[in-house]
Amino acid sequence: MFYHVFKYRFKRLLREKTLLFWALLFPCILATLFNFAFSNFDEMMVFRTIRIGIVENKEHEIKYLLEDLEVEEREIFSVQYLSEEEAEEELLAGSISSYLVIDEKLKLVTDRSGYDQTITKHVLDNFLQASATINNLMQRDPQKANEILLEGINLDKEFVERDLQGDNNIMLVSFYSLIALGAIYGGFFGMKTINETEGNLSAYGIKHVIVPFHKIKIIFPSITVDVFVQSMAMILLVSYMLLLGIDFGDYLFFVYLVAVFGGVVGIVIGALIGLSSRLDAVKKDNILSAVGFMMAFLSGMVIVNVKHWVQSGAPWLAQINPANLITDSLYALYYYETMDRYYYNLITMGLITIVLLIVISVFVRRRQYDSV
Amino acid sequence: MIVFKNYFKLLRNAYLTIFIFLAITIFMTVIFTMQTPPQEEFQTMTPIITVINNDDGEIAAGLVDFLSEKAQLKDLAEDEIKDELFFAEIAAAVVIKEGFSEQLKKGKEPKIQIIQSPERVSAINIGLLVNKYLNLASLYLQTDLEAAEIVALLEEDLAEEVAIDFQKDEEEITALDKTTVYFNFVGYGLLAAIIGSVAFIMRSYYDINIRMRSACAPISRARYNQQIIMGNIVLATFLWFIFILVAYLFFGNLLFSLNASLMIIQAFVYAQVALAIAYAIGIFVKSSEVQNGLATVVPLALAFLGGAFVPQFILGENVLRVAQFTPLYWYVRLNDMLSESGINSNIWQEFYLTIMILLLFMVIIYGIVFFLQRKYLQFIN
Repeated sequence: MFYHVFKYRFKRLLREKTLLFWALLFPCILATLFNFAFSNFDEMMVFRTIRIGIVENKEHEIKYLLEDLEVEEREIFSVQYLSEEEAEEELLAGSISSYLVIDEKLKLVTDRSGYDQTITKHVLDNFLQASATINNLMQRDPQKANEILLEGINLDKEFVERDLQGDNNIMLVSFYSLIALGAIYGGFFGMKTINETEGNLSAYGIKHVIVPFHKIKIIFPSITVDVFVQSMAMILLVSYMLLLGIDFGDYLFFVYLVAVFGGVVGIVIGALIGLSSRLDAVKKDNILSAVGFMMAFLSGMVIVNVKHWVQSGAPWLAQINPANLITDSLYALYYYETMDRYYYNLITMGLITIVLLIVISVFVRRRQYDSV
Repeated sequence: MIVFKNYFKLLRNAYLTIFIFLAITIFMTVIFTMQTPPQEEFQTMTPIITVINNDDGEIAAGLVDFLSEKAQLKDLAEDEIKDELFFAEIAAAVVIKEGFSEQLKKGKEPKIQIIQSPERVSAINIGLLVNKYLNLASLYLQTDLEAAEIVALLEEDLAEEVAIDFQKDEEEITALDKTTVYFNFVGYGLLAAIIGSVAFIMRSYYDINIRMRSACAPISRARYNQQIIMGNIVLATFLWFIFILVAYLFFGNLLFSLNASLMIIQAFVYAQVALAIAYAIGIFVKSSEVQNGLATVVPLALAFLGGAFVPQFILGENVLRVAQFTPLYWYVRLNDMLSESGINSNIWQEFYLTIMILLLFMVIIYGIVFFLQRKYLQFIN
């Protein structure tokens, strides 16, 4: 009996192109689009040499400072000497971020606020402030000030010790939450199974209710097929993302594990929505579609930082949102050194699954149809 | 005008779809528009950092005060730092160890720990600030001045800043930036809402049974199509109008500025291109499930490629090269240009060029649709 139901249900599921589209193809398409859109994103936040212009109306030592300044052995500025008109044109064209006019006083001309302009301003401020300090020293303790000047002023002492926290491509969270979306959309399989086993939801359901078998003998193999197909879909989805070059860290086995387990949670959610009301199948599909999207949204799919806002503002919501638990597990695998957070999420998902299964069993148990 | 009237009867069934698409788009647009930071004057970017000061010396306290002027300080527990760094909620965590000020006084070079993500430009900036303060402090420390006096002198020195000449009308830039974000999103929203609703109605008209019935009705095929297209145009215009109305609620009278008006005109022309795409999908895709899939995937794909979600300058060159064959790329490109205040002859030229390109897209899509439709009818006959 098990094999019989398993075989035919499996064959039928593979023909359900819409289900396969939402569970597998749709996340893959989104992953491809994300990959296009975010491929250059990380480089945007990384330090690049800043292009500035200098309009030199008067000789000033600041220009040597700007030419020679380095950070982590990379030049901070690439300097062009220009006339005021040229500088204005270059600024308008965006080929320099600002230009410095050297007259009696220094003046920085720019047309927008950004990190390039901020750093340029800081460097120039540094120069002016160091000059102010030396003037102050001369006034208060001329003898000491002369000693310091004779020894040579060193303002390049390094007081900073950087503690770099692993590579953090923030956009990875979008891809992780896509896996969560794929997992929750596995709910379409669970919903289909329920539709086909409940007498008030489909013709198949009527057939199943009147056959002389215990309902569990039909539901169990059907759900097993769902889990099997959804697991395959999740494995394909993760593999596809690996092909796209998405970084999951070093523990691939655990990545697949949480993806497959997430798929199971998705099926259970779908089954619950399927049972929850007597709405027709199309409306329930729309509900699952919206619920899945909302869960993925709250786990950072559209705006990555939403995940963090929810986690810090409403931690309880993050804890009961399966999509967030899946995303967070993958994030923890990638970014944290220990596995504690990963296991914590996995256990929470397990608990959610058990609670939902209990609710489902209460719904399904002893359901009878007078009119069938 | 019987077909035209019938069009609006059919439309009643699509209310829910249109409402969902509009609600989602407006919700997303509000969030994205609100995310764009205001830029009212030249501002140094003020990163958010957390400072953990374990030293009770005055220099350390002075450094924290200085950092609080240059950055926004956020109170965090140590175990929260890692997550905050990953999500770029903070640029860096600055940790001052116990006995720091004391060691500095002795002429040593004690270290301040800056916890950061690799190569983040905002964190490099914090490092520069810390080094600046401490380098100047160590100059004063070579004299006999008291620590409190040194902190006061440093405050005075650090108030010296370079003059800034900011060459834009700041308020207008801010508002225009937000308008651009909004209209770029409308590029996605219009397409999604138009495909979702128009394709739904087209499916009813191009059902084989309905077509056979209307083929024998006393109305010519040209007239029949003409009335359907008129219905489509009215619907697309209505959707465009809703987006403009929401924009008015957001931006008020700014919408009447020349830049924003050009964005509105462009959005109208673009809505007609979206209509052509929806028409094609509605005619050629018979299955409602496939249509729903396309109504979701096509706008998302075009929006990602064209730069409606992610700014075009972030997209790779290859992506942009492909994107040039989509209408949304040109639509977003012109919007981005219009975000600059002032319209010069160059931008006028770009405006006309973009409108021409969008119209060309429309003509090509309708051309292909009518050609294939004719072939299909010949095939059936």
